[in-house]
Amino acid sequence: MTGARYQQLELSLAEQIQAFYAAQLERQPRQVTCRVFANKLVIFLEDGLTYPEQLLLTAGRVELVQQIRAGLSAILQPKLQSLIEQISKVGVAEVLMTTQLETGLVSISAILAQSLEQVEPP
Amino acid sequence: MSTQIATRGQAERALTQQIQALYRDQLGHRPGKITCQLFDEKLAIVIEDSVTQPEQLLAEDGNIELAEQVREDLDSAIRPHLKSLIETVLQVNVLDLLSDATLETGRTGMIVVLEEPPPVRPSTSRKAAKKGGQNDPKFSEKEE
Repeated sequence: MTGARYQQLELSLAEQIQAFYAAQLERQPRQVTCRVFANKLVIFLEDGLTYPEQLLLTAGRVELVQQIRAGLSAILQPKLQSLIEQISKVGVAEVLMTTQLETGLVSISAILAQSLEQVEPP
Repeated sequence: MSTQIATRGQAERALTQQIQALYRDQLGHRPGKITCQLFDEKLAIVIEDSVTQPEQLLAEDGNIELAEQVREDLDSAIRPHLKSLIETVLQVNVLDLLSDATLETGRTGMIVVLEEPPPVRPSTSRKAAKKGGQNDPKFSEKEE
C-alpha cells in the first residue's frame, strides 16, 4: 500500500467513524484523527462523551458513567469492527475502545488480521 | 404598562417549548411531542421519545438495569432545572414534581403540584373578548 492510499484510508475512516459515532450516540465529536500503520490503526475522537454522560459527571456520578461507557463500548465494538473491515477491506482481529472521562477523548484501536502492506490495490 | 397575563394555552405552549429546549441543551436530545396540561394547581406533562440514545442502546442490548439507573440519575439531574423553568413560566412555586419514564416506549410522564393555581386566563377568554367587546368606533359614529 502506498503513502497516498494510507492517507486516503485515514481520511475515509475518520469521516465514516465520526458519522457512525454521531448517529449511534447523538454526539458529534469535535475532531476525529486517524492513523494507519501496517497492521493496526488508531482513531481519536475528541469530545466524545454524550450529553447524558457529561450531565452525570457534573452530578458526581463517575462510577455510573464508567458503567455506561463500558456498556456502550461493548455495543459499539462489533459494529466498529465491521465498519473498519468494510472501509479498509482487511479483516480486523480486535477492536478496543477506551474513553478518558476527564477530557472526553475516545480512542479506538483496531488490530488488523493481516498487514495492509500485503493488500493489493483494488 | 404591566405584563399581560397569559392564557392557559399560551402558558402551556411556553412550557412545551422551554422543556424542549431544556432537553436539547442538557441531554443533547430532541424529544418527540410534548403535552402540557394545566388544571387547577396541578400540571401534567407527557414527553414522547424522551429517552436518550445511550439509554436506548443500553436497554436494547439487554442492559435494562443500567439504563434504568441512568434514567433515574438523569431525572434527578434535570429536576432542579425543570422546577425553576416551571416556576419562571407559571410564576408560582412548585411543591412537588413526580416523574416516571418507560424505557420500552420512551415516554416520560410528570405530575407537578403547584403551591396555588397559576395566574392564567382561561384560553377561551380572548375569543370571547373579541366577539362581545370592542365596537368599531367609525361604525358607531355613523349610527349616531
